[in-house]
Amino acid sequence: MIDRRTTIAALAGTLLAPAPLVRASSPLPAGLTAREVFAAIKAASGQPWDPNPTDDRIIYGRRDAPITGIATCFTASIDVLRRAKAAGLNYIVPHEASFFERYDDFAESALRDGDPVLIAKKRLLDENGMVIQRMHGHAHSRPGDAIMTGLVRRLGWEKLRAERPGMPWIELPATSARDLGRHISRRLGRKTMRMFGDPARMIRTVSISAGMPGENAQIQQLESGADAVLLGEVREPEVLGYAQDMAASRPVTVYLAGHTGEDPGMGVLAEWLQGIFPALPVRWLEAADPYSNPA
Amino acid sequence: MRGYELFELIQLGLGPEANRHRGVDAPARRDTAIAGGSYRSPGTLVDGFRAGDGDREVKGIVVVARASTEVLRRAAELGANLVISRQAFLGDSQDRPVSRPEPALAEKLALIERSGIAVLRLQDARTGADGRAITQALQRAIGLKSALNEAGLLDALIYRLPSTPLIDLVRRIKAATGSNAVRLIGDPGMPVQGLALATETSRPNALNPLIARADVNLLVAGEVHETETSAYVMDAMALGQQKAILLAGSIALEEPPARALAAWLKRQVSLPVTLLPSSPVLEDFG
Repeated sequence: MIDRRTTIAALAGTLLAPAPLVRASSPLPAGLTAREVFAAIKAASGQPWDPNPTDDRIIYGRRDAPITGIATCFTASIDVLRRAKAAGLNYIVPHEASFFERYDDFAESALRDGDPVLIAKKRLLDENGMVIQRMHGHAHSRPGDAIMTGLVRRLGWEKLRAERPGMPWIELPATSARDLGRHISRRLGRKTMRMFGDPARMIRTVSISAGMPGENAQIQQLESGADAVLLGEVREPEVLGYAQDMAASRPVTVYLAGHTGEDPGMGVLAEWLQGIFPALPVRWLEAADPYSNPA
Repeated sequence: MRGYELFELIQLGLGPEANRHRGVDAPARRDTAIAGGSYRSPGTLVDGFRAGDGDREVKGIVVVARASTEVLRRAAELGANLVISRQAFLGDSQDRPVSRPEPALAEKLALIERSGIAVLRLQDARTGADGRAITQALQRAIGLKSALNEAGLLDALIYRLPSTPLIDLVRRIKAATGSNAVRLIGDPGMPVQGLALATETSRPNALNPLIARADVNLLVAGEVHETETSAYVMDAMALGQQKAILLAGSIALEEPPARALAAWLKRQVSLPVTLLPSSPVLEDFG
C-alpha cells in the first residue's frame, strides 16, 4: 500500500516499476481492481510518484474493489458521485480533496466524526463500491501541466501561448480589459468573475495560473510584466492588496476566476487515462461555477 | 499628541483585546508548515505600529479598511501623518513579506518614509463597550443583534435572527460594505435563521465547524478555502440541507468597522480625522 508514509525506498521501487505495462501495444484488460488501476496510473505517469504533499493516493475505498469505469473531476462532490454512479463509474479521480480537509486527513479535520455530510458521503461511496484516488500534484507535473493545458485550451488560447517557461503567457491582439473579462467569463462558464483594474485598458499579454499556487507565485505573476493576470483563488489582503498597491504606480488588471478554473485540466487527464485504460469507460464530470451574485 | 499616546488613548477607550481570533481554532500544525506562517494563528494579535515612526507628533488621522499606497498618498495630500488600517496592508495578515522581490511594497515603504506617515494597525476585537461597538459595526449595519455568547469561541460568531430571506441579507451586506462583488452559494430565497460571521482572513480548515452547526444555515466570510468550505456547503445542499455561504471580501468587510472607528475617534480627539474608502473596486463579469 502506498500512503503518505511511503519511504524513499518504496518510491524508488515505484520508479523502477515496469512502465511498458501500460503501453498501447498491450492494453490493460477490464476487471482490474482499484489497486491495479492506481499502479497502472503511477507507472504510466513516468514520474517519480510522491504522494506528499497533496496526497495523490487512494483516499477512500477498498483497494480490491473491481473497477467498472473512471471519472475525473475537480472535486468528488456528492453531485459528481451521483453522476458517476449513474454512468457506472466507480474509480473517482478528483483534483482536490474530497472530505473538506486539504489532505483528506480525518484526524486533522475540524469537523466532527459524526458530521452528517461526512457520513452521507461515505455511505454513498460505500454503497456503490466507489474508490477515490486524488490526482493533484501529478496532474500539474504531467508534461506541460495537464491543468494549465486544459485551462488554456478552454480559453481557446493554445495558438496564442508564447514559448516561455513558467506560467502560461498569452499574447493577444489588443483587447479591452472588459471584453477580455467577458471572454474569460463566457469560456469558463462563470456566473461570477471579479476583475480589478480599469475596464477600458487595452490588454495584449496575459499571465495565467489556476487554483491557488500561493501568494508568492501570484505576486510574481503580477510583477511579470504581463498586462493582465488571470488567477484562481487568492488570499485577498496579500494578493489583491498587492495589486491594489501596484496600481498606485502602474496599470494592473486582475481577473479572479475561482478555484474551479482548474476543472478543464481534469478533462485533459481523462483523455490521458482513456489511453491507459482503453477497455474501461473514462469520463470527465465537469464542475459548474458554484457561485452566483444575485442583485 | 504623539502617535503612541494616541494608541494608548485608543486602547484605553476601546478596552483590552478579546485575545481570540475571529475565526475558529482548527488544527494548525500543517497549515503553518504549508503556509510558511502566512496565516494568522488563533489568538494572534495585530494591533500596533507597523510602519513609520509612532513617536512623531500627530497632525491628522486617516482611518481606512486597508492602507493601500493610494490611501497613503491621499493621506499625505490631506496633511495627515497617521493612518489607521483595519486590515493588513504590508504583506501577509501580520504585515510580513510573502514574496521576494516585492517592488510595490518597497515603493509603499519609500512613500511612508518620504511622507513621514506612521501606519497603525487596529483590527483586534476589543472588549470595552466602545470597542465591541466597532468590532460589531458590520453586524449592526445588517440588523443583527448580539451573538449567542460574546465570551465564547464559536458562539461569539453565531447570530440568531428572525427568519429573513437570504437575498435580503446579501443586499444589506452589499450596502454595508459598498462592494457589489460578492459570491454566493445557496438559494437566494432561503430563509436564514442562524448566521455565522467570520470576517477575518480564514485559515485553512477553519470555518466548516461554523456552517456545519445545526443552528447555522448561512456563513458570511471574507474569504474561505474554496475546496474546503465552499465544497462542504455544496455537498450539504446536495443532501437537501438548507445551507448557504456568502463571500463578501475580507477587505470590504472591514469598511463598516473603519467607519465606526473614524466616528468614535472624532469624538475623542480634536485632531482632523478622515475616513477614506479603501476596498479594491471589483467589477463582476458574471
